[in-house]
Amino acid sequence: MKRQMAHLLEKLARHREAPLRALLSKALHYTTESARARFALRACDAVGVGARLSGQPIVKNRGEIRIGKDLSLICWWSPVELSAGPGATLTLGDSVILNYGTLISASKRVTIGSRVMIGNQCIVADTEMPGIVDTSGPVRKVEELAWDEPRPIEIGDGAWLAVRVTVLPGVKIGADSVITAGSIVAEDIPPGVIAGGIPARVLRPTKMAAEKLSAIRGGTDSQRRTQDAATESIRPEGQR
Amino acid sequence: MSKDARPLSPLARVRMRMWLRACDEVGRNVVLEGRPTIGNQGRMCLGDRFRLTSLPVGSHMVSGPEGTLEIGDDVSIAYGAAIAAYKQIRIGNGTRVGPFVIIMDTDFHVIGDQAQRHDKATPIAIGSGVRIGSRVTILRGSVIHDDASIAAGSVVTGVVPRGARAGGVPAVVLPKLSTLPGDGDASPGVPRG
Repeated sequence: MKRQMAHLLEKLARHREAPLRALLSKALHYTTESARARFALRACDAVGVGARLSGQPIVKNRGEIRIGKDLSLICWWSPVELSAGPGATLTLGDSVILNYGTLISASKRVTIGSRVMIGNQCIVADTEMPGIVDTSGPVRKVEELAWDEPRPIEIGDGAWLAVRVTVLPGVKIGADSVITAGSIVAEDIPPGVIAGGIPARVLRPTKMAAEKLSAIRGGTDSQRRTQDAATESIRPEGQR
Repeated sequence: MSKDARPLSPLARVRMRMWLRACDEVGRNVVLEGRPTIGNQGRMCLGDRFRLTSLPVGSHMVSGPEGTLEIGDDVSIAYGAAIAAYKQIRIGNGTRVGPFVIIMDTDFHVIGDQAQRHDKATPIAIGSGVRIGSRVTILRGSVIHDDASIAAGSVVTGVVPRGARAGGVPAVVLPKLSTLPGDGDASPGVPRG
């Protein structure tokens, strides 16, 4: 409770110039949303301070779900689903944003870094057939159903998955990479690139990565400017 | 068809008007199935005989402070639709949109900065008589000309010419069904190309 209050004050301090009314409304939102998050995420093993949500998520925890600070779940139109099978680990870093309709399913291990944004209706699952194997029924055994071997997924810090991205089992997405809308990621994506398509291919480096690269290489200002122009949009036009 | 033609009860009309009260203009004989989420901070105009389904999955239409959403006459949008207009989205007359379609004229986020929002919005124009399949994503700056059809699951990012058939991620113009080799009768519904 004390931690929550401290965190709230820290957040409000960021909007110090805002009028009092707006601050009060922010505080009220924060309090109700985080209280609801605490209840909705009660099945998780660890939830950092400042988790917020709108709507109602689906949490199925038979293994271990660890969530960092400032998680934001948007479940207005369809729920976000977090599921961890028996013995599986699902880890979310700090300041992760998950938009509505997204499924994150771990049968072995799914690791999502800090500052990751995942758009609506994405699927991140470490098996071909996501979801928890239901062992409660009288007929089916775990061995029968778990026919596909889980392969761990890793999403680096600051990655951004746009709408309807499907991440297939065994894929690593590098830090600060962007996956364009509707892509299916079937192989590893290096850090700092924009990738997209079915299957996802690297289209170009992000502006940030390009700047860093040119700073290392000592590129001139004009070179940098052309790179900026080339990397300003995330739309996958480069593929045409 | 008989179901469409059946006149709505006065109570249903009142209810729909109430659900659409955030819109600036609503045409005649608008039909809603289920309750959509309407968030209008800019301008939102719906044409006559507009049909929006929100069952079994809710649809939502949102316009930003500087956004305009203009929907023509006889447009039907199926369930699970997500429409976000932060600049301008125009949908022409008689366009039919399948389920789970996302139409947004902004990327919402900026690369590398989680806190920053609404990068820049580029208008989307969708012509008349366009058919849009299920689970299509239409990104900012897209222009779909009249009578085009978009295959299911595509991501539209550019210009689709008049009467063309487009599909894929990102969507490209596909050959016309009737021009494929060995294709005598262009019967729709047969998967090709």
